[in-house]
Amino acid sequence: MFKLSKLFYSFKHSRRSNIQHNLTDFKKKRRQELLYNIGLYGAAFGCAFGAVPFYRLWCEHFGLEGDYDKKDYSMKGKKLDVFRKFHIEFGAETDPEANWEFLPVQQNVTVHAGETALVFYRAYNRNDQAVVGFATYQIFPEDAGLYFAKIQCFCFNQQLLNPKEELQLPIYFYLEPEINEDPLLKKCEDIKIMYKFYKAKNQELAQLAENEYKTVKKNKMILQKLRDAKKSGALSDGELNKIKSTKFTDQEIEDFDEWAYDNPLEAAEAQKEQQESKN
Amino acid sequence: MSNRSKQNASKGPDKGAFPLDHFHECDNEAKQYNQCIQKHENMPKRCRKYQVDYLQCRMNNGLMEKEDLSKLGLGPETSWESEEQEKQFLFDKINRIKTKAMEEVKKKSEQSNKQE
Repeated sequence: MFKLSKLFYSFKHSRRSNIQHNLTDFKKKRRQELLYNIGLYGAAFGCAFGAVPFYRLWCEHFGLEGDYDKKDYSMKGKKLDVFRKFHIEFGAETDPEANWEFLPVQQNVTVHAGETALVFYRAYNRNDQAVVGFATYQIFPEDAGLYFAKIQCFCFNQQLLNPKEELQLPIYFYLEPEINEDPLLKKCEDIKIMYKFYKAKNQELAQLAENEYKTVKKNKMILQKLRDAKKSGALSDGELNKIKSTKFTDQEIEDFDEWAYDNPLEAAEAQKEQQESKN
Repeated sequence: MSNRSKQNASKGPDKGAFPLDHFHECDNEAKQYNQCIQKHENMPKRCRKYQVDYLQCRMNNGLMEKEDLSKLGLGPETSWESEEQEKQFLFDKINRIKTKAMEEVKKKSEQSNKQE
């Protein structure tokens, strides 16, 4: 850059006499050159920075939108063939290890390309423990897999199901409109999608959930003790610390009546009724 | 066909996975949607109202990112009513063309009768 500017100067001043006896003139010229160079570099740098908002304004002005953070599923500007319908069948497979019930609620759906549709799967955990599962899917015919776009689903992510919990798992998807132009899929009317639910090798998530559940229960037990102790009178710091640091056995934790803790009024009523019935 | 094997590798969903509805906050809306779909021959387009209800319930309870419904492709242009209207329009067009053609055929047959 510096050499180019030098050449520029030498070309400009080649006709004048090159004898510069005056030192201050020489200094002035060098300072000028320096400022010129700094200005040039600064301008180039500033352009690079300013290009970002400038590009955005330019695109807005000419209507070229490319905001990929929030993708637009409204199919604006695309011509949709509303009358070519696809029958999409949903199937489900479970891991025999997992002991779940995993079935699609809607066995098949009729959609056209470009239409956003919602479909549910039903999962029920028959175990007494929480299980972490992982879902993947397969599409037949394979060429249609290109066009099956999911906006949101329950796949490719570890999902935790609590014991004896039944959940509705949604899939929100659409078929890309380009499927109508694919020569290999011209006669294709039926698409089959198979979901498979595996038991995740890593059951840590379930373990974390169980530990969290236990600590919540322990805290409730400690609070219950505190409340009972306060009834008899104000507590000193020493007694407070003692209660806070009580350790419970696993059996005590299991036997703790959580419902009574959560609903004290109803529990008191239930107790009264029990006593009356005894009497 | 060999080129397609890479493209066919299943990609993840655009917005990631749906968080699970452990507290059954949107179960009612899901039930209504399922019932509606059973009635309407498994066509999600005719149950748009319940679909919107379910997604809004999810958004309100923090189970889904809040987003404009028209951006999710649930605007009036893609509704069942507009599809039926288009069907009706095309049907009327065909009928008009048919009646015109029949008239022309009649005219020609009358002309040929006259000539005879």
